[in-house]
Amino acid sequence: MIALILLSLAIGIIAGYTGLIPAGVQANIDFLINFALCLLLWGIGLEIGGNRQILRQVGSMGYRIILLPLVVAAGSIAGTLLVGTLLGMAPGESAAIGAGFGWYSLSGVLLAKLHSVELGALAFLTNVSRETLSIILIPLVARYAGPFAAVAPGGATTMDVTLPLIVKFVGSDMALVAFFHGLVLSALVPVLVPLLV
Amino acid sequence: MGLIFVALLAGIAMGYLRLLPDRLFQLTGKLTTAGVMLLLFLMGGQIGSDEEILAGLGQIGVQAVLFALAAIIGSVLAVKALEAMVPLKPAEEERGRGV
Repeated sequence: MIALILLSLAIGIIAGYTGLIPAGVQANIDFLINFALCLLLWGIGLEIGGNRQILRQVGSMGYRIILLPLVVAAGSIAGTLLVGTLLGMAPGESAAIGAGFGWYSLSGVLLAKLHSVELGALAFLTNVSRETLSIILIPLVARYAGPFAAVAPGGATTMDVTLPLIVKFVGSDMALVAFFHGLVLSALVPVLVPLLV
Repeated sequence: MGLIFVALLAGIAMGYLRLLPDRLFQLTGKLTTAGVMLLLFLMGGQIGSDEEILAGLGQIGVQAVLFALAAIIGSVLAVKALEAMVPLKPAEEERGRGV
């Protein structure tokens, strides 16, 4: 499974780089990605709805379900603060980069507007990397650190792009927890990035 | 973003109400695997054909990867710390109980 996933990503990057993707596909790639996502989320929804145990698990977690995105937000920002300090960057700048939580388009644009084009570009690339690295690391984290830790790497993307991966590697009983996690982190990006920088 | 939410809710409702024939329902696992591969191929295509990303990778790419790794490691450690303090999983017997 992980080999298939990495292979799909690698073939896509190579095809995109060498211009092997047909112009018609290339022109509509945003639409196609959204279409594939909707189809996937519909499929995940079917699994959630068809398995009533999942809804009961979310119910049994109660208020604890909100703790997961909050500690992931804190952990992400702490991590980039540490690296930023080592690189000699201002604390606010490095914290704001971490508060993108993988939502590269929004965090990049926000920081380019609020601070500088350079910081915007770094936030954009950092959060593209977070999404790509998550795709690679989710299977490993799922195996060695457990289902809840496997939700952490994806950050805000666990409500869409990385949700199917999480479901594949830890099972559909984490689907709603992961979706909610991504939803809360996505809502935090436009609040925290301007506050921190 | 809104459309994604609608798709998820529609799926949950259809699954809960058992609106799909069983044979079709059995196929959803295979469908999502194929869908994930298609999605990753398209996302790879988007990265590979984006000159801004590729140009940026050379200059600030190392920094970006370091920041991304730190955010991922920090968040995983934070979840492990949370798990050590608050039990996130429901008790085993509750999980095992039939529907």
